[in-house]
Amino acid sequence: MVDMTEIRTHLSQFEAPSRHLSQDGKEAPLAPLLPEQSQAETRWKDVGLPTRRDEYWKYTDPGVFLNFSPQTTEFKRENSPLFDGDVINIAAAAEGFVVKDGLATEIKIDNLSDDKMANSQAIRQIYGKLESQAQDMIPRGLAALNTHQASRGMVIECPENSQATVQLLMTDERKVSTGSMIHHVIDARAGAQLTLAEIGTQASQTNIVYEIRVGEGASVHLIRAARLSEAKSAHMCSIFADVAASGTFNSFALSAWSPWSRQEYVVRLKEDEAKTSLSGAVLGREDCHHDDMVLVIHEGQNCQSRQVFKKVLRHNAKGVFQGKILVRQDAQKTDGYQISQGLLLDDESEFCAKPELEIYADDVVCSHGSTSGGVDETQMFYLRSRGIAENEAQELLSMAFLSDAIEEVADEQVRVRLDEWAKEWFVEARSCQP
Amino acid sequence: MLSIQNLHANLVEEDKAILKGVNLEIHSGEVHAIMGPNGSGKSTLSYILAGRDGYEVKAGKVLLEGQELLEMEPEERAALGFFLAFQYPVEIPGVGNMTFLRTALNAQRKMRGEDAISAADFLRLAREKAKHLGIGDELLKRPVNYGFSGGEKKRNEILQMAVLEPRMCILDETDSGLDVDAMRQVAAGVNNLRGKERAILLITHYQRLLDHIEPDHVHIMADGQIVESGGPELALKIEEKGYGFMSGEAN
Repeated sequence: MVDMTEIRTHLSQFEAPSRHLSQDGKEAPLAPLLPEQSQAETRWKDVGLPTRRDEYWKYTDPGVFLNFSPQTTEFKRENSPLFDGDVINIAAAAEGFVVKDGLATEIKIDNLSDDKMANSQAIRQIYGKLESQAQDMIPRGLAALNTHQASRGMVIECPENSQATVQLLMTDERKVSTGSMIHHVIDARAGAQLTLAEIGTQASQTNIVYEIRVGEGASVHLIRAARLSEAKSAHMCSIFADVAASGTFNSFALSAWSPWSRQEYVVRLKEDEAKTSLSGAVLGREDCHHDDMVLVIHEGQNCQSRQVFKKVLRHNAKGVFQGKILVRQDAQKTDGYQISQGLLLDDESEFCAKPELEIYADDVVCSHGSTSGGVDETQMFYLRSRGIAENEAQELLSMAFLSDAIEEVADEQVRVRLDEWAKEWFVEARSCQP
Repeated sequence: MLSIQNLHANLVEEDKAILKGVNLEIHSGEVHAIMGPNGSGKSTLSYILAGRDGYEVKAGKVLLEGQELLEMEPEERAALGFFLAFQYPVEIPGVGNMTFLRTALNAQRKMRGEDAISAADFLRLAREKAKHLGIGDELLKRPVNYGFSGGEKKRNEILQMAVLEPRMCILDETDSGLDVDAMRQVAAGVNNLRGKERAILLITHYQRLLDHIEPDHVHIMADGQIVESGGPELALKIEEKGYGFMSGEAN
């Protein structure tokens, strides 16, 4: 049975769903935004909130997130965009997500809280569905809670063969003193191509859910990265994607300046020739904790999946990777690849990995590997013998280590920027004492 | 330029004496060669001079331009003009050759209080030096030594030498693993760098390399010491008679 007191305490950290307030500002009876939200209530009540006893929370203490105290924040520097030029920039505002510039002519972007969303086809077909189907294998209470409670989010509909790049920006100052529960729904129809960059989050505590349906031959690229320096924050993000025949879902995340993050991925390659690449670069220092948990489910034939996660850790930082490739019986000719690596720059840091393969088909190629270790001393000496100082040599080797993950990003302009940001992190880390 | 005085050194892990009192004086403008059988301590000497971990200096000192070399970090030695061309150049996947070279050059310039070289100027410089060594743009763009052939690795060492312009260069078995054409190219690169302001020390097993780079002085090393020194004719004697007669004399 779920401990309601604990849930109420946790929920009190988050903003009240906007429609829960009546005209006079008093709290109205809990009326969900969407019918799909009501159905999620039984789900999270069944599943409950995560505890340390849960198999997939063994290396990460959920208490840090559950008992976090959200706060307003002033950032040390401005956040910067990942894309220049022809993109649709969206800003998060009190009233929802607002198109700032760039014209959304090909695609449709709505706010989850709009009245009309109750009748939206994308919502009816996707909202809560992908999250719910992912619950049967591993309990995901925080995602179910989000589906039930989320008050904000974007609903992006990409018609057949449309193309767009969307950049979700945030203001340089966090004025909200509560956590944010955000639920994005993306429907990319056949042949559509969408690149979505999420640059920074709106609150110091976020519980974000993405539900993404990738149609036949469509592709969705999600990039999550922020250049913000956050003294205290906790970010939880669950990404659910269903990929149809010959569709592609790629995701990359850079976690560098937030002290605590966990990303959960559930990607289903439902039909033949579907592809996914999930990658992450983590830079952790000063007790940071970054957790990535991945489940790729191969259902169609001839599908390809890649998982590339690289974590550079120092000053008592901890990196966690739990990744599974699950190949169903009919998913012949599967090509699955997974690598997770921790680069420990001192003796205090820690990398925990749990790579898993579960294969029921007999004609597949799957590999998984995981390593943890320090920088190569021979390479260090070689660089230093050419005049490169120890810390700079270490940075060069760390950047080289991360490059495998950053290389997974298709757009060169974005790769260059991510490289710059990572370098910036090293420069800052030089002056920071453990 | 380089003065090695009574250098004794051990391998830290094995507590085994490798160098047993090496003495060597090298002046600006000179080219020296150290020859010697396997295990005589030639490579150890080069690693100790470059500052590699794993060795313990028990006695003696080394001066580079009058400064105590052994007390410096490897990068400080490089900034002072010391360069070791590795016997086995190290592969560094993920670090571009050009990025590496420019970072190294600018790091040295910074330590010497000089301005950094711009990306454009550097590109011009590197291309020009590379051309002389038969190194194409493609090799410059690849990760450091990664997937290079043996000859490409050795040429890449000489390219680094040409770009960094050190004053004291040690080439550790640069001829090993090279075919005749590659050896000619490497030797031409080294000969190009000969000059009044620079000294070169070649470490080799064979006379072969010395046909292409003629040394002013040849030293024979055996069992951690320099047991005989002479002119180029000494190398020919070794080629003819082998090291056997030397160890007999040394003993």
